[in-house]
Formats: sequence, structure tokens, C-alpha cells
Amino acid sequence: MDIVIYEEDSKQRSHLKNVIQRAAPPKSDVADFNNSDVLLEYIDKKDSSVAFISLEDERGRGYLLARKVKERFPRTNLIFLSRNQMYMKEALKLRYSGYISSPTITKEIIQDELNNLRYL
Amino acid sequence: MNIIAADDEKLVLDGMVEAIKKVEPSAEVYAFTDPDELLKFAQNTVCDVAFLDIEMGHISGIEVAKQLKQLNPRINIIFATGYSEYMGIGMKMHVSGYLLKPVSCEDVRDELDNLRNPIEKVKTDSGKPVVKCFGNFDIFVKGKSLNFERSKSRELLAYLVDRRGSAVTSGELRAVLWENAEDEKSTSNYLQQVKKDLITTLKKEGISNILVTSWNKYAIDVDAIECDYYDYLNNKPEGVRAYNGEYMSQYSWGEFFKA
Repeated sequence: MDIVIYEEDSKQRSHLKNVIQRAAPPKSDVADFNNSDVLLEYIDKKDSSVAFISLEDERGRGYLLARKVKERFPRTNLIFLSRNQMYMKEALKLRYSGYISSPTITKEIIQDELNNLRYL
Repeated sequence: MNIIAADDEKLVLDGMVEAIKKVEPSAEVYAFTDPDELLKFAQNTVCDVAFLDIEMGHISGIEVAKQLKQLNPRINIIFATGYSEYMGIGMKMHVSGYLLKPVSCEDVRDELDNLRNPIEKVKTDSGKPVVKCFGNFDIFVKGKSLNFERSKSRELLAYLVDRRGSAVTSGELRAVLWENAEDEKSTSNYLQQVKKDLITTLKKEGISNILVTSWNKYAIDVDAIECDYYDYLNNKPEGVRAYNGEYMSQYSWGEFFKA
């Protein structure tokens, strides 16, 4: 399984990558980004099946990135992260695979999302 | 496609049903104002989509959705709410979508075109009956679930499907269908009645050929049916998509083996 992460906060990004690596099936590739253009190029090359995207930034960069991912790679599973349920209504329109609003992200939460992907 | 529509306000429910029927005229739409009746219905009828109000009187739409998912993990839940603040409730359940009331035809169309668990078109082209093993076991002829007089008849058929064409004796069937029974004579009698019901029902539907019988042995003709489990074992994409982690859920003997 090829997984990408978009999170602008470096500490959060590192934690997320760690949890996802532990939760993902064996031999999964997990790549993390804080730059949307680089992430999009990566998905294009690797045909990533899952994108964890943080919606926490106030300027909506995460949401705008998700929109681009949806346009270019419609079958990439979008899993949003936002403790405050930011951009919830907008995210719904993107037919996300999952939306994690829990303040603490655990291996079990990630596994639940990976076991219930919208697009196989 | 079987669709449930539920709202405790009849006027709102009628509007929802009207929109669904306009958009999907071939669907069977079952409308409920009472969640208890809805749940009772869902125990006997496999439903593909459920449009649910988030608040349904004494029971929340979330609770109804949870129970529906237990009956059929692949059911597509679509919550309808009058409050945009409630959109997103139940997102942990991986619902298919949300609608703001009053529901429009465009919204319904959009949801049905983007179901989380797309409905596999029931394969009527081949003319073969379609057997579903993932989730609850069921058999469909021309898109309709077969009705047996006895529930054990369905279970017998399920067991033969599980055996994948291997012949099964009466003794084995008795042991499986009545695992704790001690009285061999009465279970033999019951088995005769169950077999008779199975054969009669299959004959009535014109699909007797799926059952292969010889002296005291019974088997399914694997080539005479379409089956999600067999598709999975043969690595067909439709079989892989159909797999949801549950196999013949209603039977305690059902164990899913990966080839």
C-alpha cells in the first residue's frame, strides 16, 4: 500500500508518520510532505492509494490540496485529519474515505481507516 | 436495488421517497416512520442503501445505522438532516454520504452515483442464480431473494455452496444443521422435509439444475451459479470487491478459507 501524508507542522507530521507506519500493512510505503506540489508529483509517480491530509491550517491549504488530489486522482482515498472538524462540509463533497477528528491519533484509529477504504 | 427511507415525519418521508423513486425508478423503496419496524424488516431483507434521518424519535439514526451495518456491513448509509451542523455525525461509521433536508432529486442522484459500496449489478445476463456468501448468505433469482418455507432449507443450500461442489451425505447434513440434536430419527425426518422444501423451491424457480443428487449424497453444481465467494477464490475483481470480512454470518459453522 502506498500512503502519503500532508501535515505542515513538523512534529505532528513525524508523529503521524510513525503511527501510520505501525498501522499500515507490511511492505507499505509511507511518505510525508509539507509541500503540496511535491506531494502531487509523488502521487502521480507512485499512484498512491491513500492520502492523509491535515485540514488544520487556517488558510485552507490542506483542503485545497485535497481538491486537487480528487480532481487528478479520483480513486485515491482521502483521509482527513482535523481536531476541530474544520472544512467538514467542504470535505464531505469530496467523498472522503475517512475523517479523523480525535485529538489523539492511535494505531487502532489508523487501522480502522485503512480497513474501511472507500476505493479498493 | 433495495432502498430504505426513514424519517419520523411522514411529510418529509414522502418527499424523500418521491425523490428516490424519480431518480431510481427500478429500485424497491421501503419507507418507515418507525425505526423498530425498519429494523425488524431489515432482518429479513437485504438492503443496499438506507436514507436515514439523524433524529428518529426514541432512537437516533446513528443507532439505527449501527444495527443495519451489523446486519449488512456493505449497506450504504446516507444521513439526512435539516441542520448543516449535524453533517459529519457518524463519520466514524464510514457512511456513504449526507444530505440536507429537504432532499432534492439532484442530491439523491449524486449520492446514488457515489455510493461508498457500489451495488454490484446482479448478474442476470447469464441467467444463473446469484449466490451471496459475504455478509449474510442469500440466493437471488432474477434479482429477487429466494423464499423458502423453512429456514433450514436455506442453510442446507448454504452448506452445499460452502462445500464447493463436494458431495455431502445425509449424516453430515444432519450433524451440521442440528449440531446439538441427539435424536437421530427426528433429525432424519426433519432433513427429509427440508430437502423436499429445497427441491420444491428450486424447481418452482426453474433452477433445479444447481443441485446435484445421487444416492444419499448432495452437492452444488458450481458452474450453475454465480457466487461472490467463488469469484473471490478465483481472484476475480468482483469477488475481491465483494469481500467484507464476513462470511455466511448467520451460520455458526461458516468459516471463511482463503485458497
